[in-house]
Amino acid sequence: MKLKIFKFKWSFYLFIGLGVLLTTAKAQDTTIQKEQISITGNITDNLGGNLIGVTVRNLTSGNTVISDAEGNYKIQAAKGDSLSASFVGYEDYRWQFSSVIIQNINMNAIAGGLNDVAVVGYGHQKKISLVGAQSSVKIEELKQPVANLNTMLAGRISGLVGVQRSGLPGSNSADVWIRGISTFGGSGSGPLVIIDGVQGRSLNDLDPEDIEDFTILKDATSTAVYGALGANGVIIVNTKRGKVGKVNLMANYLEGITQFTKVPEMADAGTYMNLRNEAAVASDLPPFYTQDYIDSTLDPSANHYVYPNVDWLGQLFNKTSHNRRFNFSARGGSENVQFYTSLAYYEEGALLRTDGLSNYDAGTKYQRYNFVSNVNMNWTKTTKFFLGINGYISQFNQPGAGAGAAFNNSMNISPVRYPIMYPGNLVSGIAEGSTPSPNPWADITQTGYKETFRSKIATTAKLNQELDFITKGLSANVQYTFDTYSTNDQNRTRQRSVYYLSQTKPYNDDGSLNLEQVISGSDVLNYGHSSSQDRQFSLQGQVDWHRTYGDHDIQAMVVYSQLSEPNPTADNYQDAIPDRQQNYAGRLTYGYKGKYFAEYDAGYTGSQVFSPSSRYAFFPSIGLGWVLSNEEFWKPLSGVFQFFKLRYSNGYSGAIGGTRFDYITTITDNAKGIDFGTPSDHIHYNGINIRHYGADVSWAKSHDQDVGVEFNTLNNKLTFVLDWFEKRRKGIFLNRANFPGFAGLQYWPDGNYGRTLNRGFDGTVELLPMPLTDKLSLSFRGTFTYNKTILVENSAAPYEEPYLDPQGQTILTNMGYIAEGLFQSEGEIATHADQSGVGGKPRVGDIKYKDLNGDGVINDLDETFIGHGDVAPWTFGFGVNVKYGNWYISAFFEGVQGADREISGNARSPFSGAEDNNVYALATDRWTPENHAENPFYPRLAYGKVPNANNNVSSTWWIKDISFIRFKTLNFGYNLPNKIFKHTGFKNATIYCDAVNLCYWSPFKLWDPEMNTGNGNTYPNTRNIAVGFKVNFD
Amino acid sequence: MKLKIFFAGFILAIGAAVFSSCSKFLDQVPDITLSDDSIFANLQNTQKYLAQVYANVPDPYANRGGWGNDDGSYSQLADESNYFAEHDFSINAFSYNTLSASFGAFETLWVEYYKPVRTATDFINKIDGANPREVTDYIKAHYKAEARAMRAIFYFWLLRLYGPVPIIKSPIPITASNEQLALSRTPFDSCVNYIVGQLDSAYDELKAISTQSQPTSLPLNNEYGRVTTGVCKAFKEQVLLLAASPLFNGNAMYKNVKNHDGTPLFTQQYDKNKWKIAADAAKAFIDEFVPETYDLFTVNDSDPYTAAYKACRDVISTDWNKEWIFGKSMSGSIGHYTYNAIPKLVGYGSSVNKGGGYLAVNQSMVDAYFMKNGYPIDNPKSNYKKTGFSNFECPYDIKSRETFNQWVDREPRFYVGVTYNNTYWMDQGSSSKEVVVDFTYHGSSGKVQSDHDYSSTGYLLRKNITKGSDSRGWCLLRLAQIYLDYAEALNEYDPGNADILKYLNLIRKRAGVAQYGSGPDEIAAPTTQSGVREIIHHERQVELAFEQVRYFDLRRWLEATDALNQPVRGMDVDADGDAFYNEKVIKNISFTQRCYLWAIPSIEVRKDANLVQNLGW
Repeated sequence: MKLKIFKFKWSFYLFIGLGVLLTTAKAQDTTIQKEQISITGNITDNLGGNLIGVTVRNLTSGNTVISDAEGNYKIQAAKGDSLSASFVGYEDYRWQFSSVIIQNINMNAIAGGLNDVAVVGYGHQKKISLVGAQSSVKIEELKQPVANLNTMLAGRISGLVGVQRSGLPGSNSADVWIRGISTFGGSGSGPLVIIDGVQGRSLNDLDPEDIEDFTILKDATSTAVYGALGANGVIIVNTKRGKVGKVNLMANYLEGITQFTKVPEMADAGTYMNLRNEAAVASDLPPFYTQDYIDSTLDPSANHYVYPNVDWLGQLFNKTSHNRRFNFSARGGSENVQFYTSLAYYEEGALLRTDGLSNYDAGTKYQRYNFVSNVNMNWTKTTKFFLGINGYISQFNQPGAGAGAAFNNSMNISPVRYPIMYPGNLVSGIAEGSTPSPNPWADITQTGYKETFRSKIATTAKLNQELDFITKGLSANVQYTFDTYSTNDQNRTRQRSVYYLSQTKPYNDDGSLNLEQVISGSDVLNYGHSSSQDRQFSLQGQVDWHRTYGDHDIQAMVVYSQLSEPNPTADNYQDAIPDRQQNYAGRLTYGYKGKYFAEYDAGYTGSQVFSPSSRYAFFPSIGLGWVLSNEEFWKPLSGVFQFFKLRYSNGYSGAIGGTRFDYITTITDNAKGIDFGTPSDHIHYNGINIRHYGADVSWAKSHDQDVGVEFNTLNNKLTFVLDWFEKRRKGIFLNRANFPGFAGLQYWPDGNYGRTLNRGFDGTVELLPMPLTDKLSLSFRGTFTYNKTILVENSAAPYEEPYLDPQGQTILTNMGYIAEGLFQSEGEIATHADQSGVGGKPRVGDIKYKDLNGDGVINDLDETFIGHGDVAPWTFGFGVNVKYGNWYISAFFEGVQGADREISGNARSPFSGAEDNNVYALATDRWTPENHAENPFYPRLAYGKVPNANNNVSSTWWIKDISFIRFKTLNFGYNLPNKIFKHTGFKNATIYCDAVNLCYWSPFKLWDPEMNTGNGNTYPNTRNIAVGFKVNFD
Repeated sequence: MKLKIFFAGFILAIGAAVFSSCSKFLDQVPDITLSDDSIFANLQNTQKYLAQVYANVPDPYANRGGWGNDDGSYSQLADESNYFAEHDFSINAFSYNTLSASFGAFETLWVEYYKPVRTATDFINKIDGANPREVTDYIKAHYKAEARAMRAIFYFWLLRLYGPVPIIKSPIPITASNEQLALSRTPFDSCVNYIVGQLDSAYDELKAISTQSQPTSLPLNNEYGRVTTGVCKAFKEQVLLLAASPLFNGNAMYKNVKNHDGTPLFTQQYDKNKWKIAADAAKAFIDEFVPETYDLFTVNDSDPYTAAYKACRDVISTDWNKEWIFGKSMSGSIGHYTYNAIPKLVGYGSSVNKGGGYLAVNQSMVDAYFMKNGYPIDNPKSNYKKTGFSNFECPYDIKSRETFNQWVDREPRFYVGVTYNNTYWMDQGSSSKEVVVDFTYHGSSGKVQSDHDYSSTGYLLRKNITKGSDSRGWCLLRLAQIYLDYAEALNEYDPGNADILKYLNLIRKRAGVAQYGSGPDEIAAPTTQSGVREIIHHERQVELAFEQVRYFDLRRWLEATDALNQPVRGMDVDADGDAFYNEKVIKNISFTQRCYLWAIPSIEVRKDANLVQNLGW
């Protein structure tokens, strides 16, 4: 009930406010005087707050005044006098008096200083007044020669955890989380991303050059205004806006090379054949290759069409590829119109080779064109209009069989089965049924090509009206956004005929190769296409009020926003209904003397997931801040700590789970059903089945608490921001899995059952540029993030054994057996618990598992939680910047600690998959009857599924530490001295070299530890090194 | 000035639009034609809802060694056939007996058999209210009886797997509290009474609407696979036979399996009369439906041996011949099953359909088949030779070829059931060279051809495999089984009753083997009750081989601890030439007392504190 009043009241006020507007308009007079006259005005900061105590000086006459409690000043000046306004923490403001006698002054805070403007949800605040936990990153750090911005985030911002999962152009973006993953089950764990004021836009849509600021909101006080969307944290990004002043043109060009950070080392032909023979013999099979055959294969002069010996990875991949970026932007404007426009082009090639023989382009290449046009207009003195349009079109070309698959296949193919091609451009391979075995070389050169076209246009229109005539400091704005996104795929693919050398009679009578066709295909390229489209519309209305009364600074905000996402390419009626949500939010902040700060935030969100009666949820939060260093008693300490602040926040934010219209019971009328009748006379009835049980579900709520301390030392040069946090989330969406099977439900109904507890801390240490000599300066920045999320409640039935209960475990852990080493003798097998349920009869050299319940049998009741999961609890980053004259160099390292991964597939069981796959070169590190190794990488090798069954299951044996430290970026450059350009119109220019992912250190050796794969067959991450030239001119 | 008013107005207009629409902004609701209210609105949806009751009828063709929602691969759990070569098949864990109560199959079938129970109950409760303009009273009555019978049959399938289970009389609402969900198992006899009562009601409901033109002893509109009066009666007999069998009839092993309130789940008093009730039910079925509705399937051929071979082969693959009582029609998954049983046949051209070749037959099953003369192989009069080779032409071959003596002159059902080494394959395609099955190590279907797809015993299952893999039905219950049930039950309470040998001999006669009796070509029947019991059990093993019956029989008779603790034997598939024919132990398997009933899935026991676990789990 209370909530409804709240909602009603504020909409009522907005009505009144807007209505009054219609009837009011004030004329502005200006009078020109020639004598010494009074100039008056109001001094505000960037946020519109009155600045009290600002020194206004007439530089010509030496006259000085101080602004009063309302921020007003009055000073005498004659025409032509120079004046200035100055205030601690702000850039000086200078102007020359000509004719304007009411000179309102807006002072810019010193960048990075305490009075600087910080981005918060639906607005801005002074940095000193922040009571919530948030961090931002310097945009310069994100400008690296990579396609996707989010790969640059991990380690740079405290509280952000990120992993780059693949290096394939066009899909090399990273997964990011704020303060780790706090949820489980099917609920989303990623942060809400707000770009230019609206959600649903992607970070990777932007070119880093176009970004003005980048902020993450980490606790409830900063995210509560996003209501039910904020529980996983929020990322706010704004694109650059125009500036009053001369037009500044910027051009930037870089050209780089890319390389794999790590190519998996696969066995060569000799190693492969010997190991395969060993595995076969150990599995009671005859060896596959005779010594003669092995010798011939390894003999460089042998006919390798008959004795194939292929290094597939080496064949398919170049050592380097390239990328390229070009940016051009223009920024400037007059008092009434300011603009920022930019064009960008980015191009990245993959390391896949092409044979250059086809008359089409099967090269793997990603190209993207970005544009931004942001225009601010002051339609009247009090009416501002913003129109921002940004977007991109991109194009990704790849071989018909797919670039990702090519990498996978080239790792998983035998080096000795067939050559890359047979003479006469014939595709080599064997057939498994009617599908050919993979031939990755043919995949990238012979299968045609696929092109993916994407485009996006995001448009923001915003009208802002100051309403000072109603009450001072009041303003209102309306924002409307419309975005459209489309993807189109065109495939021109083919399956050519496949040939295989006769194994019984390799040569024809005339001595030529006896090739048998195993698959009959076609050389004609087929055509196929698919497309999809998304669009979204949002509308937002906001009223802001900011006023300073003496020592009291009060700021209030209410906002309404709604978002609608129609799905024009939906394939069913329900999905075609636009996805909608609604959010009301408000904020009240109070500051006293720059010492005490309090803030109340609340969001009130509505979603279609929930029934009309419980559709809205309320998420309040409160935050407190205390700047001790502004207290009298701090004076003695101010020599050590120039700034010291404590803050605490406590509040709620939400997360939506479940399905749309979760409250409605729906059926499907094409369930499996039944056939009746005989083959000659039969009838099929589809079944009607419950598709979804309507459930009275609600929101997941996160109760966040955060304690933060910020302090500066070394004369404000060294700054620390440290936060401890606790997030208790309850009501996580889960199926009601404790519903007994005898109820006969088709699916378990949804419910809010899950609970987690996420605790951790994060921090930033920053050394602002320290001049060491007159030319040399040094700065440093380091961040760290730690979190651990425990599953508190999953609403499951009690477990048989305590070690089977996931409650109390970290949420990302896996289940498996505990390996107790390898069986070293038959006697050991006989006395150990019966492992036949795991995979038949274990052999000497196989993994021995712990009998956790002591029943003498190893089965699923002996599994427990092993490993911590592949998202690390610890993330850290540190970087150093050195400037020497016109030279600069900066290096950044990123690392994670405490993550592990269970390896699987070929990496776990070298000879158990398809009959022909390759194995890691590391497979030589295995148990053999000769070495009886205690702790090799692999247990005894075996060939086939059955002999490998004992070892090819989840166990601690296969859990590998994937912590790493990565030399993430290295940037150095030279700012060309200005004198060079004196006559060219250039303002400044820089020659630079940027490098990304130079190298890493990790205990994990098989593949780049960041990749999300259990067997290494993902296109690896890349190292990008680029040189560029950037020039600014007026 | 005007401009300013315009802007302010613009903001106002948008503001007004926002706030007038926002209260209804989220009030979009999907079309309710897909809500559960629409089910009984028309005939088509009513039919579809009833189809959902039938949807989980088991389909052994779908068996890939695991357990899907309508699977039923019980043949591999018995001593008939095995998937040993492929470790991944979860079904093998049964044979090792190393599984726990959380084993996948336990969890799957428990839930999948209770789903139609819920659907059927909902259907029965609501069908009378179906839209009368579309759903006639006749259809209502017929469908209601079908749903009622199917619900009882699913309970029967639960009962024979898990023993006594909770009988749920009304659908449990999804808002039920945890206390409401804490139900107990219903004692075995009550389960049986409930199932029998429901089947009787369904029978009565069908009987009441039976007409001359549309008798309910035949499926509605000839839609074979639907419940008929005969299906009701046949399953009633099945339930009663189960209840009379040693596993459930006074089994002291289960004397301590009680609900937490002390209610025993298994009656401890052996009741011989249960056999009589079962026998009477079988007899009643035979009297009412044979031969008008059901009869043994036979084939005419001048050669009686060939006629018997064809009859035994085709009875199972000829959809809905007069012997079929219940089955699942038109399986789409028949290819899975045939793939498992068709040899690999590497090296023959693409015109020959090739399979995975790993659904192996155990030597014990091979040994169970009678000789051509009707004697079991261990009888001195059988002329069985364990070793050596003869030139022999089996009933489906085109010429005689060298054949291991064990496979020479066996009864027709052996050649129906088993593919053995060096035998002519049924699908020759357009191959220029004769397609002959070779299971020796390096043979075309030998172990060397694959690292996991091969016959572990050197035999493959052949019953119900045909050249094509077009959709067919799977027979779940046929008249022969009722005859054998009758003979078995009768022998238990009235040994010496002439009907025992009469019905046993009907089966043997059709199979082309000598009958029991005192005639010149007949085999003397045993004189003791236990001797007769043995020949009945033996006949069942052979007649109903691979038809998902043996596993339940061994459990019913409490014979599984003997039969399923024998090592699995077969030919030596690691050898070539004559060494192949050396019999070898393939695998040791285990069946302990706990295996007589499946575990109540441990997840279910954990969810419901009142649900007691079966013995030993």
